[in-house]
This record gives sequence, C-alpha cells and structure tokens, in this order.
Amino acid sequence: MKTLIPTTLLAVFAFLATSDAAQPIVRRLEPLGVVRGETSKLILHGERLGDASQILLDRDGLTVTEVKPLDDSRVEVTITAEADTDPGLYPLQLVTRSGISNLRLLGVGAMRIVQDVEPNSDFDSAQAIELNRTVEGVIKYEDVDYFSVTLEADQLIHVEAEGIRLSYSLNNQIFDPYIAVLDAGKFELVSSDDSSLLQQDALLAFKAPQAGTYRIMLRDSSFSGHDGAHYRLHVGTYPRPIAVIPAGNQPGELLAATLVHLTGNGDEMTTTSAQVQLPSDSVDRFPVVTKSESGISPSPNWIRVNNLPVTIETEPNDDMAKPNAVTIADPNQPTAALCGVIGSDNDIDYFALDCKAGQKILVKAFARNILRSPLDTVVNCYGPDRKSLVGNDDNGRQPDSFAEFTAAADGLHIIRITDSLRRGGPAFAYRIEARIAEPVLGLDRKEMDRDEALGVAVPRGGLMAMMVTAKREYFGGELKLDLTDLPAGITATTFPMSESANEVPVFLSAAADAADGASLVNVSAVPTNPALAPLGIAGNLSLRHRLMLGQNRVDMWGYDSNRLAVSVADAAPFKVFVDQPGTPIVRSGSKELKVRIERNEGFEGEVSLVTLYNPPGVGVNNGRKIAKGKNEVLIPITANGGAAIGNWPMAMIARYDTGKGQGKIVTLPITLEVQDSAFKFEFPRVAGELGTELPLAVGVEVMRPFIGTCEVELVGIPSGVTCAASKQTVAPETTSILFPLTIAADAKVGTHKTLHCVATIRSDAGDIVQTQGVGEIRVDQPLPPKVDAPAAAPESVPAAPPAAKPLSRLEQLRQMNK
Amino acid sequence: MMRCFGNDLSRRSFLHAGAFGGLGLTLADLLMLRDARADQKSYEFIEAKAKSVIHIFLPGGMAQQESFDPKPYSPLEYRGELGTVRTNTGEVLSETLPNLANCADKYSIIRSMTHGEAAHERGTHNMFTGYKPSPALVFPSFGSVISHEYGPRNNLPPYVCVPNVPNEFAGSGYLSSSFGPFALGSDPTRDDFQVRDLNLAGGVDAERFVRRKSALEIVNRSFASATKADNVAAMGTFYERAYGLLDTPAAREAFDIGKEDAGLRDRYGRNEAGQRLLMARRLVEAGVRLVTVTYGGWDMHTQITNNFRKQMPPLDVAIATLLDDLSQRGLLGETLVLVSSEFGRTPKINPDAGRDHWPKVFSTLLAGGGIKGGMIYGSSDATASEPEDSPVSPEDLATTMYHLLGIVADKELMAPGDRPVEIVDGGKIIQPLLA
Repeated sequence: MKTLIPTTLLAVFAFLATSDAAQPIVRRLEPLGVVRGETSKLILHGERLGDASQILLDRDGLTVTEVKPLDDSRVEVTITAEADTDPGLYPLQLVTRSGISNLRLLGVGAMRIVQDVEPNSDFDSAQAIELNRTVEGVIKYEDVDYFSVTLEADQLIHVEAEGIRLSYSLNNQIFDPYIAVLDAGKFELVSSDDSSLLQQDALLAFKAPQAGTYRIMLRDSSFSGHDGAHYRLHVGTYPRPIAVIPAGNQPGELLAATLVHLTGNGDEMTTTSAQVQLPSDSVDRFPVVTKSESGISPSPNWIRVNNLPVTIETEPNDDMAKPNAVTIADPNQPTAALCGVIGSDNDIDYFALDCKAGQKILVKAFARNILRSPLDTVVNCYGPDRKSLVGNDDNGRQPDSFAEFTAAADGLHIIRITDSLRRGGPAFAYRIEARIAEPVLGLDRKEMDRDEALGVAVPRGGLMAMMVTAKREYFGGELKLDLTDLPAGITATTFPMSESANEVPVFLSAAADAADGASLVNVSAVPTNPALAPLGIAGNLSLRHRLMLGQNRVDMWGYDSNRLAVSVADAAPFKVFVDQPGTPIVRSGSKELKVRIERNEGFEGEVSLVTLYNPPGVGVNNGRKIAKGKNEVLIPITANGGAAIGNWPMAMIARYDTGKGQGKIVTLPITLEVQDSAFKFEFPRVAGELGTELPLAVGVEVMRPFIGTCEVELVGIPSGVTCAASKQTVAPETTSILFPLTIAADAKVGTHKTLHCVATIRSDAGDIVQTQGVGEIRVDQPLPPKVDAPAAAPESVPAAPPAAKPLSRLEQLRQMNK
Repeated sequence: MMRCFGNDLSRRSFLHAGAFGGLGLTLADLLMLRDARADQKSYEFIEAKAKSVIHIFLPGGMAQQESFDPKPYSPLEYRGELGTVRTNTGEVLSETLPNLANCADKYSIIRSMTHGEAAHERGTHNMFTGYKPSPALVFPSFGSVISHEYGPRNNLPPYVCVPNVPNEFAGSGYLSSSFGPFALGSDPTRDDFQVRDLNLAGGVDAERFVRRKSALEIVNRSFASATKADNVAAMGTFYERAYGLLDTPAAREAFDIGKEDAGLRDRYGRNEAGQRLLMARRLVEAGVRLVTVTYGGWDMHTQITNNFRKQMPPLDVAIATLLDDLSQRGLLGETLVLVSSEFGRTPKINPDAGRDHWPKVFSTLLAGGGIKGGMIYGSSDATASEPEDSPVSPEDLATTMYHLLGIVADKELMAPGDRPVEIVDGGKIIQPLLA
C-alpha cells in the first residue's frame, strides 16, 4: 500500500447560506459527483441562474470548460477532473452576471457511478451492484434503499456514505444516513449510523463470513428523508483508514505514518504503514489519501502540517514521573507538536516540556477537530513541582481541549492528555500543539444579510463594499489591508483599521468597461506600527461557508476558505450618492444624510437603502427608500452618548430589483465626523400643583464655542403641561434657560421623567442637533384647604373586637376533631 | 361559603375514608368532613364591574417600542425606525397606532409590565394564568377560571377562543375539563366561515335529534355510574351545554358573523384582526364571559419595522373600532378589553433589524369594564429597558382583571390531591387604573 500525496491545500466540506430572493442559489448538483480522469456534464439546479457565466473553484484538480445556462433554474457545466485528482469533495461557486451563488461541494471519486434505481425499497427488490462502485441516489420520506453485492468468503469491503457532507440546508433539514449489511436471513450483520471520522455520515467495514449475496441497506437514521436527502454510497474493496498517526509533521518532510484500519471483524483494528510526502508550506488541514492495489479511499484523512517540531509518543509514558521528553528546536522556545494515540482504555500520556519562567504557553489539542479522532481530549498541565497549573476538557462548544499557563519557574512542565471518559483504542489519535503566546491576527468578512452567499458582485461602473473584521491576539494597533488577485477591471480601496476598531469597510470599484469576470481574492492585513514589523504579524481572511445548520442554527457542516469570491456584475441602472454633511454629528446628537440617485433612462424602480456599517455608537435608520418617481431621501442617523469620537468613512448600500434578484451598489464613502457633545444640560427636579405656573430653569454648559445661532427646545412635556416659550436662543455665554411651564387643572398627576432639551446650532454649513434628557417634573394634587378650628375630639368608642382570623383548612379540621 | 368544583372523589378523600373507616366513620361523617374542608377562607363580596372580557393576545412578544411605549428621543438603535403620533389625550404612541391615538380617552396603557420569563411558552403561561410555570401543577387559564366561577350565560359557552385555542396554557389546567375553552375552529375572516357543530347534522331533524339524545342519555347514565373519572362527568357537561346551545337560536346566531351589518364589518376591517374582534364583540354581547382572540405573529427577530407596518395597522383599526362599537352599544362599561403579549422586546435593534425577547418591561392595554380611560400607568426608562416606576407583574394584572369581574383572586380553588391553590398568588389590584 502506498499513500498518495495531494498537491493542494485543505479542502473541506462546507456550505453556505444565501439570503432569500437576492442572490443566485444552487440547490442541487446533478450528478452529485464526477469520476476523476473523465469529463462530465453537470447540471446545477437552483434559482436565478439564467445569466450564469462562470464557476469559481477553490481547490485544484478540476477544470471547467463550459458554463451554459439552460433556463433560469438550470445551468449545464462541463467539467473535467484530472486523472490524479484526489478523491474527495471540491467546492464550487457559480457566478452570474447579477451575483455570486452559495458554495456547493462536488464529489470526485475514482469509482464508476451507478444511479439508484427505484423500486429498491424492499429487501427482495434490492438493486444489484458490482463492487467498487459509487451509488448516487436520494432518500425520500421513509424511503429505504437496498443494494445487493456478491462477495467471496472472507472478502473485506468498506461502505462509506456521503449524506450530510453533500447537503445544503440552513433550516435544520438534516439527512443523517444509516447503513447496514444484511445477510440472506435479513439479519443486520454490521451497521453504522455516525462515525467519528465522518461525523453524521456512516462508515462500515464488512468481512463476509461466507460466500454469497449480501444486502446493503441505506436510510435516514430516523426515517425522515426528504427530496434534498441525496447521497453517494461508496461500496468497494478500497482502503479506508480511520486514523493517521502521527497526525502531521513539518513542511517538506516525508511522514512515516501508521494508518489504522477497520478489519470488518467487530471493533478489531489493524495497522499499515505509509510514507506521506508533506507539502512545502504549512497547511492547517492537509488531506491524506490512501491508495492500494485494491483501490483508493473515497475521502481523505486529515492531518496538520506546520513548523512545530514533532515529538511522537513512545510508551510507556503513562506515569507522570516518566513522561516523554518533548523535542524543541530552541531551548528558549518551548514550542512543539506532540503526536500520539490514547491506545487503550484508561491510557494517559505524559509529556515533559522545558519552559522558562515567565513564558506564557498555549496548549491546544486536535482530535475531533481536523483529525476526526474519536478521542474527547482532556488536557492538564503541571509545573516543575508537579502541582497542577491548568486543565481543560472542552473549549467552548469544541470537545478539543485548550489550556494556557504562565510558567512560574524554569523547568520541565508536564502536559497530560487522556480521554474524558477514559476510553481509548488504536484510532484515538491526537496532536497537541504547544506554543508561546505570540501575536496572531485573523480576518473575517462581516455578514451583511443573514445567510448571504459569501461573495461580492461589483456592478460595472460602480462601487460595492464589504466589511472586513479583524481579531487581534497579543498585540494592538492600526492595521493596513491588502487585496490581491482581484478580477480584471476591479480595484480596491482600503482604509486603515484604527486601533480601537475591529472592522473597516473595503470598497471595490469596477471600471465601466470591465469585462465579465470573477476570481477568488486574497485579503490580508499587517500592522502599520513599524515597531511590530520584526514580529512578522500578518493575517489572512478566513471564511466559513455554512452548509448545514441544525437546531438553533448550530453550524453542523461547512467549508472553510481563505479566499473570497469577487465578480464583475451588470451595471446598476442608476448612480447613487450620499452628500457629504458640512457639519459633524455630536454625541447624543442626530443628523440627516441626504442620499440621491441619478436614474438611467427607463429605470423607475424603488431603491432601498441600508448603511454599510455603523461607526461605533452611531445608529442609522435602515428603513428608508427612494420611491418610484423620487430621486432623493433623507436618512436619519443618531450618535449615542458614548459614540466613538473621530472621522469615520460611511456609505449607504442601495438595493434594487434587477429582474433576476436583488442588485446592490454602494455609494462613495463620506466622512462622518463624530464630536463630543456641544452642550451639557442640567435638569432640576421640579414640582408643581395642578392649575399653577412652574418655572423650569435648565442649566446650560456650552462645551465649546460654536459658529452660528443656537436654539434649544424643551420637548417631552407631559400631557396637560404647556410651555409658552419652549424654544429659546442660547448664546455661548448662556448658563441657564428658563422655561415657563403652565400646569393645567386637569393635567396628569404624577412624576414624569420625559423632559428633553433639543439644541440646534444653525450655520451655513448645516445644523448640529443634540438631544439630551431626562428632566423630571412632578405634578401634584393641591393640598386640601386647612381648617382653622381643631376638630372636636371624637367620642371614645369601645374598640370593636378584632375580627376572627380566617382559619386555615388544617386548623378547622383540628378544631372539629377536638 | 365558597365552594369550588373539584374532583368528587379524590386521592385524599380515599385516604380519609380508608383511615377513618377502621374507626367506624360513617359516610355522613365523611361528607361532613368534606364540607368542613371546603370551608376555607371567607371573602368579601365584590361587585363586578365587568361582565365580560375580550382578551386580545398577540403571540410572539410584541415590541413595546413600536407600539404603546415609543422612545422618540433615544438614539436610533433604541427607538427604532418608526415615528410617533400624539394621542387625543396628549400622550405619544407609535406611528403604527393612529386610530388608537384618536381614542386614547377610552383606554389605559400599562407601560411597566414586567416578569422574568424570556421563553415563549413560559411568558405565555404567565400572561394566560397569572402564574409562573410549575412542573408540579398545570394552572387554569383566565377563561377557565371565569368559566368555573360563573358558568355559562344565555346557553353560550362561557369561554371561547377565536379562532382556535392559542396555546397549551389556554386550557382548564387542574380544573375539570368542562371549564375548557370552546374554539371556533375556523377564522371568521374566511368567506366560508362557519362554526362547526352548531347545527344539526345533515338529514337529522328535530325529532330524530331528540330520539338520539334520549338514547345517548341511557348509554351515558350506565357508563357514568360505573366510572368516576373527571372527564366522564365533564363530557356530560359538554353535552348539556351543547344541547343548550343547539336549542337556543339566539345563542347560535352569536356565532354567525354574517348577521353583522356589512358596513360595520368594513369598519372593523375585512381582515383577520377586524373580523376576529368583531366576532369577539358579538360573542360577549350575546353572553360569552371571556373571549380570547389571537392575532398575528409578533416574534420579530428580523425586520421589525416592515413587520410592524404590515401587521399593526389592521389591529389598530380593529381595536379602535371595537372600543367605539362597544361604547356605542353601551357595552364598554361592562366589557373589559385586555391587549397583551407574552413579553416585550429588547431595547436595542439587533443586527438583523429586529428585536429579541425582553420580559423586563413591556406594555399592555386595558379598556372598559371598570378601567379608567386615558391613563398611562407606570413607565419604562429612557431606553425601554426596565420599569421606571410602578412595576406591574402578571399576578397584579390578573388580580386586577378578576377584581373587575367580581372574583376574589385570593380565593382558593381545589387542585388535584385536594390542594387548595389561589386563583392568583400574591397579586395586587392596580387601584389607580380603576374608574
């Protein structure tokens, strides 16, 4: 047996969500997969596909030669999988002239494809198939598919189902395959629902006890199939390792790996060895595909490749006093990868890592994540004195452990790993990565519409934008963004991401003569502070295309990518602008932004407007539209009392109906200046009786000189109270404003915390409005008139005997029994 | 003496009988003991100001900011995108309520409702029973309690749900099933609206019906004498009430919305809100004691502005018309109208342009039946995050409602196991709201 070395980076499953009725959506691929070494016709079924033009592939190994829309819901794609393409799942996104679709996964296999032919829902009507075939089919409601295979005595086969890995549902419509092999007597000899390696997808190995015909049954685990429950069932003699040990090494190395296999004899496992050539660059998730004379694994195993020196576990190391010594490249840099396996129940592995006092060490385990090992890790760390420093079972929702500690003294620190239920076995592989805490920068793209497709379609001759978010660990400071591999005709405008912000807009502009085109774009960022340059901090985009959301929208399946789809889309039928305001907005203030459109001839449609993002503390009314026949609208915005002071780029996204969904175009950015409040108002607590006059003296502090005139209006006056002069002028030297209030005889009695002052500074540049509250006014009932003469002393009346206290039922019962 | 209907022969009764039987206790002794046991708290007589209740429940949790408690001077992320409208009493409501704003002198608003249950089913339970949910006991809904206390009037079911029983907490709880709701089973908005089972089955004339009824009685008598289960007795009650309804044309007609003046139907609005409220008015006018009306879905986690603009206008028109209609017919004084929801919604607009669950403060509307007009009771703080003053709990609201109906909310009803349970535990009457 030898191991194939894939040439590409990771690739996983994943899918994405799309916003409804906006972007093109690919619902289904037909067929679900292709055979490597062949050219295939693929039909993409979905919505708004009539102007499809291109397919974007995030993984090497496939070539698309033609994209031909058949109608608005079908596109025919001619695709070739090279003969050496690794079997597995390959992501694709469809580009149309109006948008970019959700991401779907296409299966690539080495075995011939057989279609599920109904009726095969009974044991007796099982569909006969040959070995080493991939069956494609669908499990509808309560459907069960049977396939029959003929095996020799002691012949070993593997059956792997791809169900959830091919799915796309953001509303908890899950397909969870269950497979079993039945003998002639209809007894299930072996079955599988979920598997550690393949999550909800099933995997089994079966060794025929005797020669004969056996049935392979496939159904949903709860019989709740549906029209979208498509599957690929790989049946054959191919090798199917379930673990690779050690789970990774350094780039460029030839990894001497042990592969763990099922034997088809209960839980018994066996191992083989393989040489795996690792890529020359670090890869978070590297696919290992196994090939033998009997076939090739239909999906890869996953390991990690990075520069950490690897220490491979050697038993016995289950005594804290006799740990495995960890190999480190630099005595002052305790960074290493620890690879091994929790080989049996109650097994514990100990490693000794030489740390220096003051070093902060991060210990991260990989088992369920990446490796898909059955191990549920528990990691504990101990100091040189063997006292416990830290321990961790699960890290948030992830069963893999993460612990961090700061070494208090020089010496060997112990890292302990075991299973949370003290289970173990040959496939319980793990990889622990210990690093010194060092700066890390990660980038993501902020979702603008829930479940939208991850892609940016830029209208020709216009602008589109996205928000890039950053996560800084162990460093701070301003960041500079860079975009590469943009489609021809598209240019990017970036802004520095300030130290206090974790998001920033990126504007993409398509030339008026840009040709149709799309590409996967790299987005990266580095700190601008030269002092940080020696640390080599850089971050790349990390996108999660969600493909399967379970209950409560839990992410069950998805695809992780480092590149974002960007395309040139048809031009928008109008131009859109936001007028640069001439005045700033102040904290606790408000403003209106004027948005204008210039309609192309013939375009009369409605244009709705939402903000690209809100600067911190700024609120924007996203419900405004430019109606048919209108060309402008005012968008109210406010800044709360804690709004971030500074200059912020702001833009509005205009949405319109393209006839094939929703088009988007963004305005040129304006600069919104946020200033501190211009005034400080002090509201006294006042009280007055019904039918009286009540002066309200509001203290004013003018925080800084202003240009123009200023008027302050008292608003929020409770019902029944009036103010004869609710608007008053304020000068820079004003310290108090007197509002004469009149309380009507029928005003609402009580305390009203509703008073606000609205200050408006008017100048040629525009208005500055600040609203501040909350003042309190209490309206009282007049006291009853006093009576001069003291009231006559009332005659003494003997006090009435106290009313009998009602008895509880229990007390009543007790009394009756006396 | 306040007796309540409970299970005739309960587990505790059996225990008593068994325990005392050995000592020679006679049946008469036992019955006397049972009478004594029922001699519980004594209560003052309360004069009922309201004879009927129309409970308009808005499932999902209606936002207070976009309805009865706008915050026009708070930042946009709090106040939302909707404007305000001034009422004829000088107060401020959301712009989605222009018709209610014009008749604000007819109703009062509580802006300081509060409880701690942010899950739909738990909040709903609070607002239908006045109790927090308990794993130990299923509490009866308002309608079932009223049905239990007063029974039917004019041969009509005392408790009707329009169009359907809205949730699992609208039932009779630990009370007998016979106090459960009667559901229309069909939406009065539909052109083919007809309440099921209100007419004799096809081909059955009056004589044949009487024969069938007699035959059923013979069978039931034998069955009921052999079985002591509560639901058997309840079924007998259902039959009796059903016969009463079938025998009373006036009662049957209450369910026939087609008998209503077309102009008035138009005024209410030919939509779900309008026709359901009109049906509710017909029912209380005819004698139903409590009608629960549900309308819309108010769980607006996304796009709250658009959703309010779609859902609220019909309700605004319908409630305003209902109050006017009740007033013109002289029924408003004796009909309590309650508009409630399970909770309110978050102070800040979320990234999906909606608001999430927020039970800390929300609003309800009360009108008629002894409630003052034009009052705003309590208030929320500047961002509608917490009650600013006069917090009102579901217990207080329920107690006030029962008080207006002449029911002492502190009265104990008998739960299974002969456990006395107050109708409402610990609520206070909101005196300032009472006319």
